[in-house]
Amino acid sequence: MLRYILKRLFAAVPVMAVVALAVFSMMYAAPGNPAAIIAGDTASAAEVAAITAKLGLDRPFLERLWVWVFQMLMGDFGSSIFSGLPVTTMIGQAIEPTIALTISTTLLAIVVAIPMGVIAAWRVGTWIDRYIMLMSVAGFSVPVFLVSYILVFTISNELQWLPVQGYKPIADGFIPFLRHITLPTISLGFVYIALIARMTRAAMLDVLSEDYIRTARAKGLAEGPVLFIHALKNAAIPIATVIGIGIAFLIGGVVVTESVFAIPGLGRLTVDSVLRRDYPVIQAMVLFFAGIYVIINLLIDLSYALFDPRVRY
Amino acid sequence: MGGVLLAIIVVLIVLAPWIAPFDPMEIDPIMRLRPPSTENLFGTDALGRDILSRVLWGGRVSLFVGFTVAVAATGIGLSIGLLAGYLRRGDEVIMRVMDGLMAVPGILLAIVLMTLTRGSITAVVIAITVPEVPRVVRLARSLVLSVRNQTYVEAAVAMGTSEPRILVRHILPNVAAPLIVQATFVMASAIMIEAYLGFLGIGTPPEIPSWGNMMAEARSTISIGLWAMLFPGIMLALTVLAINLCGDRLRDILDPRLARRI
Amino acid sequence: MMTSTLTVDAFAQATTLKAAVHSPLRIIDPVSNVARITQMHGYMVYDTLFSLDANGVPKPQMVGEYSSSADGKVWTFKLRDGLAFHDGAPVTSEDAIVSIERWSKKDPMGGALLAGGSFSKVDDKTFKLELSKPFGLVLEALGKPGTYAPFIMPARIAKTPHDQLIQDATGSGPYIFKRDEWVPGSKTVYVKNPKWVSRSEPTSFLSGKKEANIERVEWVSLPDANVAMSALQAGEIDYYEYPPMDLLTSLEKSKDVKLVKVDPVGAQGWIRPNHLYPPFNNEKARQALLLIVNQEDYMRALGAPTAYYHPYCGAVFFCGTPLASEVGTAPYKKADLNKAKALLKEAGYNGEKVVVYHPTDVPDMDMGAKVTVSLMRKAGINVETIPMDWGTFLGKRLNKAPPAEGGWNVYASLDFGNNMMTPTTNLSLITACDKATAGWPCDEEMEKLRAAWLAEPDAAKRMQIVNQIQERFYKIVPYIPTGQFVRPVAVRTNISDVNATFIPVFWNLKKN
Repeated sequence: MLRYILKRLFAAVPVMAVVALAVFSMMYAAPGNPAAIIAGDTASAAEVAAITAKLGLDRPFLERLWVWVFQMLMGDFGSSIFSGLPVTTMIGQAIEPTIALTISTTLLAIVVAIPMGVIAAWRVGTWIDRYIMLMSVAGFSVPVFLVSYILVFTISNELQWLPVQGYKPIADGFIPFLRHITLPTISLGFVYIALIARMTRAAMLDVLSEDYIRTARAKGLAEGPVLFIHALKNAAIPIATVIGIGIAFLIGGVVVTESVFAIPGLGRLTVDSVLRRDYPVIQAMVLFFAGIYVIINLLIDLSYALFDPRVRY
Repeated sequence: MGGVLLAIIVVLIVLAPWIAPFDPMEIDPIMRLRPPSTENLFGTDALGRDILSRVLWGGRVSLFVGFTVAVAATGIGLSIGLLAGYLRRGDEVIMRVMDGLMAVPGILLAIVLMTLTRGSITAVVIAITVPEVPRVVRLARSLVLSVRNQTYVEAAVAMGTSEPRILVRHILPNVAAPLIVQATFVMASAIMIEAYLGFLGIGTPPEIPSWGNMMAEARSTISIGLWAMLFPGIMLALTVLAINLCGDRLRDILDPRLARRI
Repeated sequence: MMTSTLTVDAFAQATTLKAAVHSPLRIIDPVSNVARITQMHGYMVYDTLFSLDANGVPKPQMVGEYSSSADGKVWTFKLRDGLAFHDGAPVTSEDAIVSIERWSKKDPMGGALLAGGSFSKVDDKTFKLELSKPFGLVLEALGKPGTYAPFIMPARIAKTPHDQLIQDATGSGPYIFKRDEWVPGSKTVYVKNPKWVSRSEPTSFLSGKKEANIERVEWVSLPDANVAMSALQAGEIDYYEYPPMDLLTSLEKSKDVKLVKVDPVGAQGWIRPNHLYPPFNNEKARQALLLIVNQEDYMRALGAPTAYYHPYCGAVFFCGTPLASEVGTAPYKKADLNKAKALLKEAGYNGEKVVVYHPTDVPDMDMGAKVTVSLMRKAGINVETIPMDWGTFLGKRLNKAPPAEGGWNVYASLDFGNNMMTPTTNLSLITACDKATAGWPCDEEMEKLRAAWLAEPDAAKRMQIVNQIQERFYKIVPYIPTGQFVRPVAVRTNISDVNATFIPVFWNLKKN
């Protein structure tokens, strides 16, 4: 098991290298210059050139790449060109809101989507099935920001049940945390619920036609236990896979949600850095996302062993 | 149902030059933010442009982006998938690069690409296509690998059939169905990402009306001119819904085996 | 028990002010960076030697006593007692001198001041300025508001080269920057400076009494305007610095919210033509742009209610300022497309492609570009727009290549009165060819007039020069004003003492 994990982590090294090189090259080629942003919109070319030189951004490609890689190998991910704060600090600040939002959305999606999928599979072909499936396709089809606005205007503005915007860390108390994270979670949840519900239904359909389910039913077990214990356990692997894929997907989705609800998370930090060409931050962020992706995929594979005793690493 | 809906939308959009009541680009600040009326059925936006006309014209752009991305991503993905899965050339390297691309959240990659290649609708298509390609490659490669080992393919190889012929006669027909189904989902997702890029202010050029642009522009006036966001939003949702439903249906017909999957 | 908790809560509530600001603070160096948010940050943490009052007259701020020799060539300044930086160190004359010197390398007014003079230390609190020839605006320069304000920092920080950003926000101003709570891109926190000593004169504009009444000021960035408005209405924030003009009417109507004109002068939009290439290397073509622009179109497109904009403002140094003038504006008050077309023809324009740079992610600039493009097309100009994000724009704008090879002909922007209201601080007015800002206007006459204004000690004569400048402006047209509007701040009604200060400041504010 440990050997397997190490092997997988080692295999991730080329992936990360590809990501690092690709992002570095794209940032190098992108028009725009952070020095011009520092100098502002009334600066002359000479001023901008002076700042560019001070930042070392006039150096050749290979030299800049080497400096970056070398510093990273020494454990230094650099600092923001603008704020001067270490990139690790900035990611550290932004990580909690995004992780909290990802976890809450995943939990919401699992709690809602799995019963939806199971029921649809159980009543396959009936109007219940069709209705649930239509709802889940519809969940894919509405832009996240539109859902967000509708929620803000109804729940927050009209009914005044929940705050309009912002994020409260769990350290400030669970209730304030929950009140702030509910609307972003719901708006982000739609797509994700749709994804998991569809997968659950498909996996359950496969399992429900198996012999042992028929046996269990023949033995006179109630439908509830048959569906939610026997069948669901055996349908777990594809569901776990799609939950994992969904988490990577969510990290992209938070970009929009964080912007609407003013949540100081990773999505906003990345967009902000890209638009302002804060190279050290962008490069570190993308590597960080890639790292999360690798780890999630590893966790999915490990979870197979949990759900299916035949799988051994 | 999806098909009918999609057909209606496509017809409306194709007819835009004839049925749109106004020039979608005509700015008239005096007419700004008029609510829906008999003159402007969907109201006007913050620059006084007719929203119905813009929704019709904008649909062309959104559908164009969706369709082009679907075709491009599938074409490129299939080619790379064949290269890796059938010819087995550079398989290892290709798959590592694809892993790398997939490891970056799609929308972020698209945002980075937009800063790189700004200024045209082509740039939008490229920025949305690139993140979609690896997913297609993976699917294509795994399909090719499984078909390749089927007895009839091995028989064809043994009989000395030429490689291009095997590709066209045996491999492509067998991988086509799942890829076509996948393409519909890529199309739906591309239309959505176009809207997200517009929302972040870095999407389709503002000269070209698209649903994404319209919603982005309506963002700051949503509390006093909800219609400016709602109509393109509804059209986009209906279109994406219709495409997704078509994709589901297509999958049921083309590939009953796959129908059990997502 | 119950009551005491409530009081503590109420107390904590009353002393924190949450403000939604137009942009998150990303750079903390107000001398190297011109971003308005960085200037606002400057006024939180730093103090200045002099500050302007409501009549534009410089009043001593950090300086206690000062004097000048009869010939105006030697000035002596003495810092007032009790000034200390946030780290506890007293403010010395060395700090003041090093800070002014760093500032003078960035600021044109500071540059002009120190071009003919130098500062020297007399004792720990006293320093003097010796000039080779009299300079009309010594105190105005030292009390200059807005972009490149001469903030006083500790000498150890001010020694940083001017083209490198400082990383330490230690100042002597009313608020202390909480670096450990700073989340660049979304949140900035300031706490009251316990050692702050306010002056006692009545507050007037940026001068006089500046009291830090609020214990803690939090700036948050709410990228979505409607969410910000809702947050203000719900009391989640107390202060909304930059409401879109479109929402003013809704805000005016909502209870518990009031609008305050912190910046009574406001901002002007303008179009910058590239003076290097046809058609706009010809002044007739630039005059044609003046005739194309219907300022009211721009103002309406921004959604400004009529009370918040001038139907027409042609004053180069803004309407409603000491230097406001009508000279030269008469032919351009009304847009006239036919006349514009004729002028374009005279300028030799014949349907060639005109490239417009269009930054799409800054709403005000986006709107400006859209209206400009639409008006130019109506005048028969063959426009091609190149959309880009603001970060790309700032870099590409400096590209001197011909428009067909990646350069540009026109872009639209806007700036605030506190930056543009004098001939020296209005950087877009520089016509020094290569040394001018992007657009590179070239006119010796204008440069002479600008220099003459700065050197002229007599206020009445300065105003004459202003009129000459404006006359020249409407002949050579360095840029085209597209209208002046005032954007008020929206605050909860329990916030009082929000004064007119040009740039939003958070001293003197009270939360009841």
